[in-house]
Amino acid sequence: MLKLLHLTGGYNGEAKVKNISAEFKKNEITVVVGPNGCGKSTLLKLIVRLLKPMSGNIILDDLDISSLARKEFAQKVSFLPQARGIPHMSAGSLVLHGRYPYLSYSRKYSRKDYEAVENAFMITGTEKFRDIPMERLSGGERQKVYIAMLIAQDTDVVLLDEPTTYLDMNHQFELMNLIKSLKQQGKTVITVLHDLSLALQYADQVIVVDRGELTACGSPNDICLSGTIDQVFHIHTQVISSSQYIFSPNKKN
Amino acid sequence: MGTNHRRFHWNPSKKIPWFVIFLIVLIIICILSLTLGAVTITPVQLFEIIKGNDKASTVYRIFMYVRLPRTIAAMLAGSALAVSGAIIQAVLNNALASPNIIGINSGAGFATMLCMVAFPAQTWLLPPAAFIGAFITALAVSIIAMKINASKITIILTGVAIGSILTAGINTMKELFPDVMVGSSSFMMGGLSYITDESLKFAGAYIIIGLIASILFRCEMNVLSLGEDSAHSLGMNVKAYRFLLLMIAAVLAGAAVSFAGLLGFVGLIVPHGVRAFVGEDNKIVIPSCVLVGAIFVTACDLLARLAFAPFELPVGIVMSFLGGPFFIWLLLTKRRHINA
Amino acid sequence: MLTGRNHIRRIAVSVLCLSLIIGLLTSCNQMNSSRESSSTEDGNASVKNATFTDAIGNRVEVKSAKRVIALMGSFAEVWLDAGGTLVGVTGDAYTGHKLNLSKNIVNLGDFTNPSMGKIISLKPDFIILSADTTEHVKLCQALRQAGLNAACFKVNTFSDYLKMLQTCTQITEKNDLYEKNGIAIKNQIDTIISETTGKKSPSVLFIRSYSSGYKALNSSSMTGAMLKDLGATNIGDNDKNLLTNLSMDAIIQRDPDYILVVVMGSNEKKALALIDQQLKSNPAWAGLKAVKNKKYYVIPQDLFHYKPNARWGESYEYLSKLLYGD
Repeated sequence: MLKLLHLTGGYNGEAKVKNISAEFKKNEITVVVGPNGCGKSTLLKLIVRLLKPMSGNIILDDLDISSLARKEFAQKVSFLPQARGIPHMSAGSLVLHGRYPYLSYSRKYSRKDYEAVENAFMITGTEKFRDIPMERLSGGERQKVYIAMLIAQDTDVVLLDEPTTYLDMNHQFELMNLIKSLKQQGKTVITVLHDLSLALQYADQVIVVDRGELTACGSPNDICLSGTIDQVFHIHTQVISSSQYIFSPNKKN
Repeated sequence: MGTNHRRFHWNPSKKIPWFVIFLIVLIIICILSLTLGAVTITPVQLFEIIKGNDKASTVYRIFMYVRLPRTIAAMLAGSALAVSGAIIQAVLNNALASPNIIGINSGAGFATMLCMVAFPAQTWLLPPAAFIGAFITALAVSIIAMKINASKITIILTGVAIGSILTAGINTMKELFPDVMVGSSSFMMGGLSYITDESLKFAGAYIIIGLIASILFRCEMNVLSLGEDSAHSLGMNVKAYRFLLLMIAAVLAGAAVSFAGLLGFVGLIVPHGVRAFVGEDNKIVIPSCVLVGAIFVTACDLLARLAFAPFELPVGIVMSFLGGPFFIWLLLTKRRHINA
Repeated sequence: MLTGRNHIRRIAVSVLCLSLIIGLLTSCNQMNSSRESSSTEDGNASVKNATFTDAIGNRVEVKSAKRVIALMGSFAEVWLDAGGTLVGVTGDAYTGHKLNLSKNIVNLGDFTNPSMGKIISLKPDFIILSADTTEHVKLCQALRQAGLNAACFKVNTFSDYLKMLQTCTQITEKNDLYEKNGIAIKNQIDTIISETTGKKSPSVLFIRSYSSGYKALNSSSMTGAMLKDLGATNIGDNDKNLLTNLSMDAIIQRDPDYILVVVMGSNEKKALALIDQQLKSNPAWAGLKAVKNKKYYVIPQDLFHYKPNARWGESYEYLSKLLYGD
């Protein structure tokens, strides 16, 4: 279990994430939502140690993560950043890099490494891309390969920063289903999503962040019914059923 | 397990044994460089020399004190600069980067000029001076980059800025001390004349160490190409490795500049040329750069000596004349994405 | 492995210091070993045994000088003046110096980058180079390492020339030529200088001009030294600004009695064109003392740019006439 305790952090001395406390459980997808600039990405960066917290703690399985060595941490927490260039390598090479935290000094891949990669290919259905350069794949296919890399990295906690942006709708669903299977393998999944309907549809837990602060935390249904979504996003949410929501502009506008 | 391993060699060009081809070409160029020049050494004479007969003959002298040091120098400089360029391009994830561009060469040049002005007759100081200049410049660029938490682009810009300051410094010194600078043009353009064993020993050792180090860190260079955030999340100490790799690149470039002068271009076009043929995997690119860099500079030097023998052209000019068009041809035909 | 920033910096600094130390030690070794006297070719059981220290600190022992290469035109002249013979020279020996070089002598090309292989193939037993050219210094050490007898000379003033002539005539054992081309000239110069004592010291601006620019030179230059010996005051001596940036304003400020120009390179017209353009066309030019009194002179290259060697006396005489009129 991953716990955030009064976490504050940001850039250049300015806090973008203010005093956030939350819990993330295994077998669950937590989606972090919030308006642009609210600090969602910063929150992920703090958890994945790309940023040092200004105050507060992050506890993973009763250990403060700042006490873990780099490779050790990378074997427990993996991260898919948002904006990336397209690396010049084949899909297979990319997925193999997911095993980097496990490499010994000799930098030679072991049988276990190759098996993990095969496994990742299987789960994501990307074996056929093995020898194909990344630049020749479509956006959706690339994202699947990246997920395969995360699977090969074999961590308990998986963080994703807007993995579905720019993808066609069908690919978005495909990807989210893949992410769902991650949680079903026992992982703790935390993802930032921009698309509210997608978020509410797949989340087990929703965290709403507004201006760096935790505005609400709970099941999708609770979040909607409480009116937090309406408040934070200045829209009107209509709950049809437990997985059906209609969003419309705020009546006041 | 055997079949599994074969499936995992994801190099599309693996079918062509590039390494062997490069090695053969290098050996051929090497032999040509040793035998051809203002005075031709025939294969028979070469054989005699290797056997160790007749140590006082003119041919032996020419071979031992002119051809051999020069050929070795060309190969060392070529390998060092090519690998330096490959490392910088990998670390900065930018195909336009090279020791030239991020100011390392200018740093070496400036330090050498300072040395020539301050201690005119002490030519033995020039190699360590160039080396220190390159090292300090790379250090400065890295530290500034770390302090301002720079992205790859910022590092390049910092290098460009520092490089232009240093180049201005070099030109200023040329204005202020034009008499001291006689003969400096061969340094500015790059030249392999009159290399002695002595001047090679120090630099050569550093180049060998640098080349070995760069081969050790090929995996890290590959991971860095995934992007900083991804590399970090895979457990790599991005800042430390970037710094370390830049230092290795600086050592290689600085050592090469110390005896070969400012041979531009090699660090930029050889890695590109290599990648166009062998792919992007640094595990193959780096060793290939060692060979192709050596081939390129040795071949250009050979041409520089032969074209108007016994008059010698500066190597830098030949490299520009050959390298430039080749580079354009590459850009036009290979049509790769240049990640700038 | 590698952890904090400080850790890295510490490693970097220690590596830097270590390499500096190793580098300096290695280079010191280099320097010391190159100063040891190198052996010459299979000696011809000759009587000659001139030993001297050259301009870059090599201890040179000349046992034989039958096949001599001079890698600078003016030094080729000195060697010939000392009664020696040559087997190889550089291209500049054919221009600017009126040397009588036989067809057998090999032209080794541009003096800044002669082919070492070609030099060795001529089987020389003594090689003369210049300490003022970085490439020559490198080449000298490389030749000595290859077991050849090479020496670097530095000539800027007449006394430098005299010293070089003395060394060369010691090697050729032609002391009479030392008298003729050296001592006699010295006496001539001493006389000329003594005749200038007591005369009023004229102020001089000395300019070296070439196709892409012109520069004021002070008393440390070859001609500047002569002017100083003759008692003239070089306005460039205490004026660093004038030396780095010769502007019309600077000249007006100092208003020298004489303006002397020597041309570098073979295209005299082009070299003087820039002066015409930037200085002479300036309206203030006509108001300068030197111009009004017709004391602006272009002085000949062979006496004041190339080293005059045995004609050094002529150079002093020429200047003395200009400055003090006779």
